[in-house]
Amino acid sequence: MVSELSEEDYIDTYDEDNGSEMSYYESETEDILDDPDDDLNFEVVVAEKDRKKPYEVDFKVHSIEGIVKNQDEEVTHVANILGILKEHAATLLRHFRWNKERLIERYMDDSHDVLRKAGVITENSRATRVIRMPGFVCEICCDDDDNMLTLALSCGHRFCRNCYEHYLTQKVKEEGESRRIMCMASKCNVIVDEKTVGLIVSPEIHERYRRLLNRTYVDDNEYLRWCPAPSCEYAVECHVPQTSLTSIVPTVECACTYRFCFGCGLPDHQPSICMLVKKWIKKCEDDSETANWISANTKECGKCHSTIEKNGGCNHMTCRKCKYEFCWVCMGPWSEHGTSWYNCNRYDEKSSQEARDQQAKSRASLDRYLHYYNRFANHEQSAKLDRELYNKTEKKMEEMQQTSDLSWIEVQFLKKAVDILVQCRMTLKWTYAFAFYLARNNETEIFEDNQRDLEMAVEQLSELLEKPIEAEKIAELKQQVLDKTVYVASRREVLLEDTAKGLLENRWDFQVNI
Amino acid sequence: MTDTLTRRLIKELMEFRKDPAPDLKDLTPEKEDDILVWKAILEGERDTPYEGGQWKLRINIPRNYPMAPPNIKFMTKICHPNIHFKSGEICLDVLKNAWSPAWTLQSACIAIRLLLSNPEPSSPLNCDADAETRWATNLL
Repeated sequence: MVSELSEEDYIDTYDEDNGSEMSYYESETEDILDDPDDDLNFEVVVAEKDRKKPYEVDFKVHSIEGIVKNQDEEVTHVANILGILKEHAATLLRHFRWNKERLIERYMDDSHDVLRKAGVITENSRATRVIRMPGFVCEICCDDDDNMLTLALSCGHRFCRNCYEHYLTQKVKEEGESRRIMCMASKCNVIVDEKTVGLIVSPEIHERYRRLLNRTYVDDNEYLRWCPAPSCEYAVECHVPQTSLTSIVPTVECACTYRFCFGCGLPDHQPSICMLVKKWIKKCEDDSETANWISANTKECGKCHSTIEKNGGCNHMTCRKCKYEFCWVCMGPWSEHGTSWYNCNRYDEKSSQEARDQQAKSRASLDRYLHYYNRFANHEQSAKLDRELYNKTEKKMEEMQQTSDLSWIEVQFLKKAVDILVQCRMTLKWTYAFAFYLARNNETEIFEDNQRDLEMAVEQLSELLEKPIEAEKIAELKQQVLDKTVYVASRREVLLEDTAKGLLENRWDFQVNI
Repeated sequence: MTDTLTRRLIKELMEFRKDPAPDLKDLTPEKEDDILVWKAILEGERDTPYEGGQWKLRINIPRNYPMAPPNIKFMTKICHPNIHFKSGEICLDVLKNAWSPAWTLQSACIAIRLLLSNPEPSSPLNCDADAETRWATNLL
């Protein structure tokens, strides 16, 4: 116990030292950079673990409050620049899908046009007020009560307050509309601004309206995306444009620990790029279930390549689709067989050879697909099983605490090992989809070598984790698991780094167009 | 809401009787005791293939009218790219998301009549009629 404490103490002080040292270096570097006469260029010291890897992207996780704050800041900013009210700035920004630069540019060019198209009238004298207006008849409910409250947006179309409330409630509650609720008059495109909505509707509807607005803020913004995990309310900000998705796989991790691709919203699919992932998933949906059966039980028509199952005894086949007559045994045309199929001796005939070649080719492509698909599916399955390992691991961790003098914190390595294992399986899974589309060349061989190294390491770690615990060998096991975990993680890093670099350098040759 | 709805519908009826749109032959509730189901009779516009024809429409009015659009269907069969031949459903933006409470049953019927002479081939409900229209336009 005593020795442990001192060890922890040691670690603590070491960390502190390290920290102060780093800041010392940093401040020194800044001083030097500030001094233009000094030619010495020191690089800022950054710890290895803090350095960004080529396959990582910068991103930020926002909570709902953060999103509201961001929205508000942008609105205030634009309102100040353009010198208009905040609610109008908000409507304009929504119209421009939160593209601030474009809005300001267009506004400077032709403010009238921008305002007209976005449905905003900025004249202050016409701001919305709820007033009584004797003698007024509401066009919608046809009520003419003198005490009736009425209002008109800046466009001047006046209706009664009740109708507006029904209208807004209908829009928000039934239609889920928020940013484009227009004046009730037909063909008038003036937007009911946030302030007016707040003035009219019940608090409950207003709350929903605000929520819808926040949702559209994230949906409209190219650089924001909701975390797709169930009931997670965070949004992730990442500045990778859609156009660079062919060279970057922007994987982000939400505050809820869910990892997903910012580009397409699917679960983490490093190292495959989104477009290949989409293709692959589609292909698997089309093919995988039936492909095995087809390859075992059918042949293809030599002419139209329809897949044919033989369901009767005769070998004289007639394709239902193209009416091509052929022999099931040699796949050659039936016309060369005369009338008795059992004299089929066409093995070396040129035409039947060709037919078989054709078929061999298409079977080979199916074989190739199945090779990749089986491995892909296998890793997915294993990852599922490994996740179940979690529960087992927890038990194991308890066991370890009881049977040895290890503390809770010291058995955490098992949990971490399972985490890394699952993550590596996910990566491996997608390497197969990636490899499927790679053309055969030296680069691909390097990729496959990396893939093999990672796969081997993963299997070894997986085996270690499933081993039963023997009390006297716990220290040894811990050492082995720790070593393997670090090794596996580094193999994954090597593979991802190389793939990401290759994508940036345009090094990979794909069999499909990107 | 029912009060306002009834009041509004009665006003619409009066308005139609006072100043009916041309080509709109009839616009009244179908039965005495149900103000939520109306019928309308459209006449085909002159100089169009629909000239001389008469089409009956059924109008179902939702409880939250005029906040929500009325549901209008052709009862008489009609061949038109935006109208379903069998069910009589109409594909018209003002009857869906472009509806505004300031529209009336009468103005909706007028919009449908305009649709007859100006079909919208890009959103077809009746594909055969649409193909014919496209083909005919190409010939011109």
